[in-house]
Amino acid sequence: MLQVRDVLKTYDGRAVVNRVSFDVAAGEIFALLGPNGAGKTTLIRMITDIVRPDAGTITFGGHAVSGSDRPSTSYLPEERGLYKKVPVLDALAYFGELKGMSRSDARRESVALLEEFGLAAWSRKQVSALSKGMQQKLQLCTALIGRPQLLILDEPFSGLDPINVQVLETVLRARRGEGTTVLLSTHQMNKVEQQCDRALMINRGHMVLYGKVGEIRQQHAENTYELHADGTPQRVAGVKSIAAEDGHWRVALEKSAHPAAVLKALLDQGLAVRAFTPEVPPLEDIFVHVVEAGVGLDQGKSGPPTVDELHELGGAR
Amino acid sequence: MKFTLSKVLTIARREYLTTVRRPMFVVTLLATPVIFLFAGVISTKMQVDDAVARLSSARVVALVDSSGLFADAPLSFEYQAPRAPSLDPRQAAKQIKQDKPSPKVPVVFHPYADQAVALDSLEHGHVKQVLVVSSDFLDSGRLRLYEQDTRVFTSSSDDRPLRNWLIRNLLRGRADSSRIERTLLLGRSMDYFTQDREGRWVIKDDAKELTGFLLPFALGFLLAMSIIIGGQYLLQGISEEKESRILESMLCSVSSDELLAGKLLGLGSAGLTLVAVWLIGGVYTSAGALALAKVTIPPALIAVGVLYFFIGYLFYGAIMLSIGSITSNLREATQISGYLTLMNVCPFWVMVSFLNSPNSALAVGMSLFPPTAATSMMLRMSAGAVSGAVVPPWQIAVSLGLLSVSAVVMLLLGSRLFRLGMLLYGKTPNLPEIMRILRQR
Repeated sequence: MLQVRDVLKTYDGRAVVNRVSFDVAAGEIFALLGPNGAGKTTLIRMITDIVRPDAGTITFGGHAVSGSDRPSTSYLPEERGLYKKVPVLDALAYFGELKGMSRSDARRESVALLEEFGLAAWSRKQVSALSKGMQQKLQLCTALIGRPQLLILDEPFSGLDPINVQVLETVLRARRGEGTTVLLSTHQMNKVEQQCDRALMINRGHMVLYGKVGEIRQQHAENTYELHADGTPQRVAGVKSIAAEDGHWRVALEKSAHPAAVLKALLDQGLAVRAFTPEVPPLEDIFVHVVEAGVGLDQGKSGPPTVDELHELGGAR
Repeated sequence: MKFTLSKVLTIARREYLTTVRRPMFVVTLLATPVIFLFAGVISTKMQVDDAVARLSSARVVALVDSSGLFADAPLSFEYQAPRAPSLDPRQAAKQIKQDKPSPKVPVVFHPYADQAVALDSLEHGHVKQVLVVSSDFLDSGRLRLYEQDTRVFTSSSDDRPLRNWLIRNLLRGRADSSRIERTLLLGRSMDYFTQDREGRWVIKDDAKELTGFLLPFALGFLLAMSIIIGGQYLLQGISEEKESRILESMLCSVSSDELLAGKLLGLGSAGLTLVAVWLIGGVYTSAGALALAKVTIPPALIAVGVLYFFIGYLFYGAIMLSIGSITSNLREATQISGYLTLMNVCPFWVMVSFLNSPNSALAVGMSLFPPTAATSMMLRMSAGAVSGAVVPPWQIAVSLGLLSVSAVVMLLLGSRLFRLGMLLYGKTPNLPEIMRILRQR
């Protein structure tokens, strides 16, 4: 398990990562979210031991990530590149060797990965001969080779066509099944909803959201329901507004209103109700709301969250 | 992260193979000797032109004839000087076609009974040369030629007018077998004397002079080149890596120190390969000449040279590494590194001073100052190996010590700049920002 506790990193006296704490379980796909400049890259660089925190601890499987017995980690940064003037197979096998694999094992796994991502026919070509999308796939292969215990992917879906997005999703699910912990940083919120169990969002270095993806969405629901019915509904007690939308009605309830009571009142009008379902906002809307409103930035609280707060925030697994 | 040798070797192998397989490596390997060959041809042409110019000017020679064989010889004659050959084939063909005789140059002899008086005249500039014919000249063929000439690599053809005169007058009216034999062997026993720095007349040894210049130059050049080339490869590799933004992915699998060590090892080896090929090629092609000149390179010189290479390369390599880490592209990195590379080659600018006095204050100072230490010490030691001027061992020890400490400091700073500077994309930090990087964890 990856444990980040009370991590602080300052540059020029400004905290770019401010007392951040979270856990990621083994075999979990965990989303790290935040707007540009939120401190995600710095946080990832601390997890990969490229930069050291000013305070706090980061451990994986009980071992400090800066220690000599650190687990095998792979990182696919957003700003990434490859050696251009080498054959594809050699470029990939080199990464395998750097991860401690023997030469023959590195080549064997490289061949398998290239096969998996549809690059086998290009293995003898120079990397520079690959298209942008193919290079993107090869970069993913460099992160996957060596079967790392912790896999950190920053915007892994960018540049991939829908077919290769599916390939990557399949590979990630397979790796998760094998116990690989995946830390996924992306702005594609639909991918987070589909792939991730839990998420952490930081803004200006602070933790602003942390928990199960479904629960976060539920927590941000606004007591609004989607009504599919024959006939025109009239306002009843507890309803703020009713608006017609593309083939259905959008019914906004007052905070104190009970959905069951409102539904009963609507049925009492003689409406033939086919569906009355709560509207859960997409993660993207929550993201925009949290960032624009500066949610969580003016808590007036300094210092790290307590363990209880963490559990409350994240619904620890 | 622990330091794993196998990873260092993997990185070194990749860096080495990638570099030596580049077309530019092969071009450098072949083009550098060609450039030097061309420079040699130009230099030889200049020497020949100089020799022809000297042969084309009138001269007054003091003659000390102890043999009496030339007592009745005419004391002046005209010598037909050769023409300077042209490197342009069309010009050379034109010269042959025209067959125009070169101008005749007067040569005048002043007989002296006493060698000391003749040498005194030479020292006062009354005569250009002093020719001494030994009393047993007919048997031994011994001749001595004195000249005040401080130039290196004296042209041996400079005595050609004198030999013409000697042959002509030796056989004049009497051509017995001993005189004919002497004319055939004339010049074989001619000793050429010049004054040394203390004013003593000493035999001028062209071969020794040549090697006295060439050996320090060649060894100093090879050392400087190997350090520069290794450093340049390092700079190029790091700049490319930074531009391609590959480093961050790699730092998950290897530590920055492993990456650094692998690059230093692999790219230094590539630079050393070039120098080794040139050195072996040079020794192979000039082995005969070196043997003829009785030149031996002292093993201590080679051992110290190897030490200077390794420490000097680490010092300059760390500097190149730092530059490559903080600059945003190769063009900018090359511009900055160019000035620093000059420090390594600037001892060549004052090489004459090093050759004349290997233990002068300038030579000692430059061989202790870390950026110029490796090349300077190699020039001093090589010059000393030929001239006999010994470089005090303590100076070698202090120089190596200072260079080692500087290399370690530069490696520590370079390692930190490498780890953090490589992640600064698209912008070159200014000095306060560099200082901030160095303070970061």
